[in-house]
Amino acid sequence: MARFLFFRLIYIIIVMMGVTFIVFGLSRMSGDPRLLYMTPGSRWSQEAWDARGKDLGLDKPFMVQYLLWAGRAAQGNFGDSVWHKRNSLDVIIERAPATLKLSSVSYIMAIFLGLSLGILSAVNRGNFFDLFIRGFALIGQAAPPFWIAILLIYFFAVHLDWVPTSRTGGWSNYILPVATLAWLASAGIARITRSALLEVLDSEYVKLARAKGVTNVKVILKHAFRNALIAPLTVAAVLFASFITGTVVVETVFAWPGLGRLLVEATRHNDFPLVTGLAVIFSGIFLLSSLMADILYAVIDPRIRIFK
Amino acid sequence: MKKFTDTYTFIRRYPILPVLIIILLIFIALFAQFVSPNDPLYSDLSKIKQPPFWLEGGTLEYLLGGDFIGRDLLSRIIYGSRISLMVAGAVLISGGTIGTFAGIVAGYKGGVWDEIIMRLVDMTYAIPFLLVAMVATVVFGSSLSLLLILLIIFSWPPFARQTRGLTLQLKDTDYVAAARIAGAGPFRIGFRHILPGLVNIVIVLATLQVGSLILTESVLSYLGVGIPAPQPAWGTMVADGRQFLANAWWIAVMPGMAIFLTVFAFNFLGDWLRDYYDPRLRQI
Repeated sequence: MARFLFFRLIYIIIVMMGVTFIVFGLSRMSGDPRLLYMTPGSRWSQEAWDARGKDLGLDKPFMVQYLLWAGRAAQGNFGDSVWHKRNSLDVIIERAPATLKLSSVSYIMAIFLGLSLGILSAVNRGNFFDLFIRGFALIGQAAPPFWIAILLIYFFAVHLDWVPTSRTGGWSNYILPVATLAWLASAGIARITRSALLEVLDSEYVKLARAKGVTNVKVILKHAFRNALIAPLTVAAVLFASFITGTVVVETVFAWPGLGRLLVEATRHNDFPLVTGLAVIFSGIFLLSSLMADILYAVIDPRIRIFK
Repeated sequence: MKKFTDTYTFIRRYPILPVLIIILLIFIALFAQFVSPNDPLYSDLSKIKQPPFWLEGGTLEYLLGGDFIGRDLLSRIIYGSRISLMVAGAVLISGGTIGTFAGIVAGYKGGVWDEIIMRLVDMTYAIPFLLVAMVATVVFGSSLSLLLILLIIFSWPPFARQTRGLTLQLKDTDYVAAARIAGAGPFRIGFRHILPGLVNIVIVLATLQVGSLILTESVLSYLGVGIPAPQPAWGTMVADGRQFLANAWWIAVMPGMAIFLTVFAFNFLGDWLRDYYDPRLRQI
């Protein structure tokens, strides 16, 4: 286990270095970083321009600049946001709770909904219920996230006027964004749970359990579901990646003041320090979550051995 | 009665509807200038937010209604299909070729090549695409070529991973051994003897990828980092209509419907092809 964790952590560090290197390389390709803060030739004297260059370390070679930048980034200093005119990390920390709340609620909803719909669909194989759930999942996989959000807004906020159209506030503001994210995310889980469960229900040990006279509910939940769980968990872990995309879109549609919307705003304002900060933090979360997923598999499925 | 059940089983067994949608789509994309009733960029101020023809106030001239500056929604959707299909096609042809080639090299050559290529694949999987796309857009500005390059970089790994696995199997077959004994070089073996065995899996993967590529492109366009403004991209059209949802829902809903139907058709066809060629591939 310790060995596995050690190598995985090294791998994560290497990938993070790759990501930051790409991001930093792009930032230097975009032109002189001084242009973000000052316009040359206007009220800035040549001395001030040179001094700022020295300040930012532009007189040093590229690799040294990268290492200096990476060192500061590791301490959480990505430079001042151009738009917000203060430290990028402070802006990010300020916006983080909104995203954390929205995505954790949606994630739990998605897994719960996906697993239960998958089970219901497999158990009711072939009848109307199964057809309905499969339709629900197919729509969730084929519809663009912003479109689902817009349809939900149109029906439930504009047309029926049951819930607010956007922004944060009370608990009712959560309904539509959570529904959008959960629908999209649960679609894949439901489909894979269904097919995994159908496969297991066909196995010898399930037939034996039935022959012994175990009740149907017990067969499904105890004998079959546990063994069918590995495939949906794989999807649930990979889901984190699509969740990043999902939150960015959903926060934009619902004017939700979180990190996803911050990223879109920063992109529109060409706020480079803020964009890089967000990119590094999002990639970090992404990598750590895939590590957690690997550990989780090993805990659930003893056939996967990482505990050497 | 018998005839009816026969037709029903036929429809259940073969993906008729998705194939029809795809054929229609390719047709309107190819012949957009003949099919579309109006100029997609011309705005008629008297038709601003005009409803679709079946609603009160709609005309047959603008079948799906007018957008917020009086352009024909249907014509814009028709022209938008060009962009979506072109992006998906260009990316899949280049990404699929690169990925398949890399997969054959990794599987057949093995050793250092395998190690390098598979680590590259892992790396690409580990980087969240949307973030890189947004950072790159800040740096280079949004353009079609940037979008294509980004999508190609992120679309080859699944091809490489799957073809590598299959190449490893094919490498040990007798006919490849026979070819090697007969003196065929690695290039000849790779292209004449291994590649034909990979065609099925590449086709299945490509079909399954069309949907996700169109979705990704539409998300980027929706966020304003995809295809730049004057061109009628479906994602951008939905974004434009978002703020008029209360009094002109069709501006946002119609282009979204086009995305949904397209992705749905390709996903369905992809699933069907996968089950048809090899049900064991259900994991991809």
